[in-house]
Amino acid sequence: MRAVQVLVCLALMALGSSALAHHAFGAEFDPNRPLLLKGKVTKVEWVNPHAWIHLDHEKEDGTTESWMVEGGTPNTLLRRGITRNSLKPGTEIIVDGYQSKDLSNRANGRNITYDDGRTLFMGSSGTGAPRDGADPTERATEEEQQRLEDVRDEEEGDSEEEAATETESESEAEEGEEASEASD
Amino acid sequence: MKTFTIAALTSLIAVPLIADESAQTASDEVAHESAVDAVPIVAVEIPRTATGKPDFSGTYDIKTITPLERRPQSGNETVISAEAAEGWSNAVKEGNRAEDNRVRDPDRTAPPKGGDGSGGPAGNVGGYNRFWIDNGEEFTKVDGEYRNSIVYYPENGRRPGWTDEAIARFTSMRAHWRQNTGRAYWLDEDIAGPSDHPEFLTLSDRCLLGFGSTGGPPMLPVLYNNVKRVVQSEDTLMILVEMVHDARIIRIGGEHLPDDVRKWLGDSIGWWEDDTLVVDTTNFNDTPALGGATRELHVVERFSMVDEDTMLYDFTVEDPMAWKDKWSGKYTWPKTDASIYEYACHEGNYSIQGMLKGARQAEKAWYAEQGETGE
Repeated sequence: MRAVQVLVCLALMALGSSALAHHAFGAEFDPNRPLLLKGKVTKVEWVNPHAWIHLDHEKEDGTTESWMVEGGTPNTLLRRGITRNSLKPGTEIIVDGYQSKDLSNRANGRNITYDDGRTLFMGSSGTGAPRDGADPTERATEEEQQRLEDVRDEEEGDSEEEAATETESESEAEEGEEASEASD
Repeated sequence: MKTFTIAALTSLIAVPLIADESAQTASDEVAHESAVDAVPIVAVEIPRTATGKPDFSGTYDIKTITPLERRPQSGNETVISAEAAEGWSNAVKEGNRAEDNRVRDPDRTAPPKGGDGSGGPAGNVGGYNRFWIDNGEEFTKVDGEYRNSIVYYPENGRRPGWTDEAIARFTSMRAHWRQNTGRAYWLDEDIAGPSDHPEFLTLSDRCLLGFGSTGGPPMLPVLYNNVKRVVQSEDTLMILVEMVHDARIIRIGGEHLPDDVRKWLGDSIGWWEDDTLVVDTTNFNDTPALGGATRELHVVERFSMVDEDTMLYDFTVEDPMAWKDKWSGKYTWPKTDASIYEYACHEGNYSIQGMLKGARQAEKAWYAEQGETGE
């Protein structure tokens, strides 16, 4: 599994300067303001260049706070059959990311998952199939729970290897940045 | 799709050399050999316009995992075996699906303060996850063979070295590059800040050009939004680039604009050489989409249809201010049934105000640290 991930990483690296995102996240979000948001989706702005998912974050004191989270281009998801109705208001999600530098309630969707940890939109065409996230009462299956355990074990066991991989990936990303700078 | 069928039928009528059944079943190898022999053994059906010209109209998805440059250890070998290509492709698919299906800890905590160490455009805050990415899972196939790089000249499949002028340029840029720490470092150094003005932001941030030369020329595959829509008339070829919705207008039979007229995507004119549309682009402004290129960039592209559903895209880049030699590449553009959607970049561009306001906030924090108001 790890080998496959490294291979994917290498494939991305091979693209070099192509592996850029539309926006410079580093210019938009503050590395000193990490956050974890949990709550119900209130709406999704299905707009280019990046989709924005709005949620009511449930704070420890029981009150809620409105946040919006940046995702990627919606066109890719549309082609996969996911529509503006696939992530319905009321769906519980968890987001880890960083707050925007302007200190407004915006964050990057570094990882957006359902409340049971499944990757957002996972295995769903968004057309009402079971477990497409539309029903917030659905929980992870036993198999998925096991997979979660495996992921935890793997992350604990492979921390050194992962660090090495990330370093490699980062250096390549910097090469990409060099190309980006060159074009600016 | 119906339009395309009509175009294809037109081509059958317009072309005297009509393909027989064997053409449809001809193997890639035969097609390759016939190209090498320069005397076609079989005619491959390609769509044609009412006047008999090749018809490029249609929608293409140009994503591929064939990298721009070849791995050095492959030397001058241009192809990758079918076994290796398919094995690699399957591994990429498996890895992507695994990542798509990854279950994260619902009890996870926030990422680390000070940044997650991610480099490049993820800028120490991690960007967003793989689900939004759509950069292909197949190698490009040219003449029936999987290619191990898009670049084919120089023979090592890698771009030639940078000129001294280019290296000096990059060195200067690199001197101003800083890791994202959230601090208004430009005030420490008394230099212009990266977001002092909207025009200091990158072209893709400003919705002017997509990143990674997606609009080109040359037009290269990128991380996502790789769909192109081609509309053709007798005197014009228009290529709509999905990302940022740039439209290249190529004047077939036209002449270049005066040298002092400079454009983001350059000035493109085209002419026919048999069934190939040759497109010559000059008159770039100071910042072409192609990384490292300058206003001296000159690109020659060769568009040809290899069958009803596949275009071969071949290009040569010259820029004496950037590279020591010219370089050439090619890959195929498969047609797709996928739709190309609108890309209302400016309307949804919250990021640009986020960056500008964020820089102002960082400056306020810097002044507060100094006991100043910054007014």
